[in-house]
Amino acid sequence: MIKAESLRKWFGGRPAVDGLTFTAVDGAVTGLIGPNGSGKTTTLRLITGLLRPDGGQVLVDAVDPARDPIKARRGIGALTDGLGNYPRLTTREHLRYFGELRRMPAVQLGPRIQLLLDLFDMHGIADRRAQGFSQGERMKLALARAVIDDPPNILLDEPANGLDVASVRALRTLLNGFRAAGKCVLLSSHLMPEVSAVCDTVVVVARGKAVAQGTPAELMRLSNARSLEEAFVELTA
Amino acid sequence: MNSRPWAIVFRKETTDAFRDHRSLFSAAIFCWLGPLLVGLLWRQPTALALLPAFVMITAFTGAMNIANDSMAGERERGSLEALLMNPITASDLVVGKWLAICAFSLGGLALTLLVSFVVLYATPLSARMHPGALLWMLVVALPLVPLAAGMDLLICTFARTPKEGNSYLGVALLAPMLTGMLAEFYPVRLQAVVAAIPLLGQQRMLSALTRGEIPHFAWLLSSSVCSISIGVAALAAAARLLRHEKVVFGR
Repeated sequence: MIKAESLRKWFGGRPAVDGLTFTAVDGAVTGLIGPNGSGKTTTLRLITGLLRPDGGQVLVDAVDPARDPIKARRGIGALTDGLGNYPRLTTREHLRYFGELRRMPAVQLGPRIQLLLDLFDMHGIADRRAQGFSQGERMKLALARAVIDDPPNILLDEPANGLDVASVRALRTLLNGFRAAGKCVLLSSHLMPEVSAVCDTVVVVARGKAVAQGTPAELMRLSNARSLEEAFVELTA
Repeated sequence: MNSRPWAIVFRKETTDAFRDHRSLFSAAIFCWLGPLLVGLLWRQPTALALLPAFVMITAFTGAMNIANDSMAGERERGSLEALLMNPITASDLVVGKWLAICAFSLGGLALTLLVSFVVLYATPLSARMHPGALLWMLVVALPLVPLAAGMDLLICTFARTPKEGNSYLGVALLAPMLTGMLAEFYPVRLQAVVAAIPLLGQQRMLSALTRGEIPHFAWLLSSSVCSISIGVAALAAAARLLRHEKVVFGR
């Protein structure tokens, strides 16, 4: 479970996150939605402890990443905005590298890599270097890498960006699987159809603040809108 | 049994750098160029005086590309952020990278001395040197490996992009280059204090070796201790830098 309380982060005298409070529970997909520059990526970085808050607190399964980032990161698998793949390493080498860094025993790592290759349908690119991968392949690799040791908390920064229809459907299936497995999934996105389709709860962020929280249906009711997109425009105006 | 995190990083960085054929090729050119030039000038009485500068330079050029790619390049690709989101400390990360950079710096140095061996024995130049001079040169220049790796790593941790890293590394390369050349024109007498000064100490000892003299053990010891200490201090500074948000995100 991820809990943010009155979270604040300033850059150069401007607030990027300004008193954000929300809870992402286990067994649910929580969407963090907001316009560009609303503080979504900064929030995810605060959760992993890569940024230290100027105020407030984050708790990842009761661990404060600002105090013990290594312990907090053991429970988090994260997909970053930049994906961060290595062009000269193969898919299998990426998964092995991150699995080893996350201290997975060798006896578990091999079968887990096979499982992820199956799950993400990556056997065709398992031994190909990442250079020249399509956007969808790069995204699948980064996603598989993020969940290599089956972490309880999963952070996904714009996971549907640049994906084709088939990959988006695969992503939905994957997120449903995470939910069924009791994972806490926190997903940042500005693609409303995606958020409507997969998120149980949505936190609408604007100018670093949570302006509304609830299920997609609740948000639509709250803003008298017919779609989440309309609700989003209304709430962030 | 799992490897230590720094060993995992070391293994990945060396594998990755070995596959970067263009960078390997450009680093290898430096290793061939110097000794070949010395061989071409073999009739000149001062031909061997060029060798110390080339030996020192290759410890740095061997380290440059991998340092730049593994730190500034890592940040530019976005993989530094993805890497640091894992349970790995900044110290483990920089130690693994530093060791990989050391391996390539050592490779550059060894290749230069190997080419020098071929050149010296293909020309009458070998008669002017002590038979084991090249092995002694390796011993004298060896502490430059952790020094060059540490300095290059620190520079590339500070640089926001590989392009910026390249410009800083180019300036840093002037240190062994200028020390190597100026110390030949204005030779400082080799003594314990001079030997302890990084680059200058190595240059004077390498120069003495080209004249058939073997350096004292005390000089070697003081030179090694000082150079390795500075390399380790640069490594610690790089680990410290990585704890800064601005450095991680290249703001």
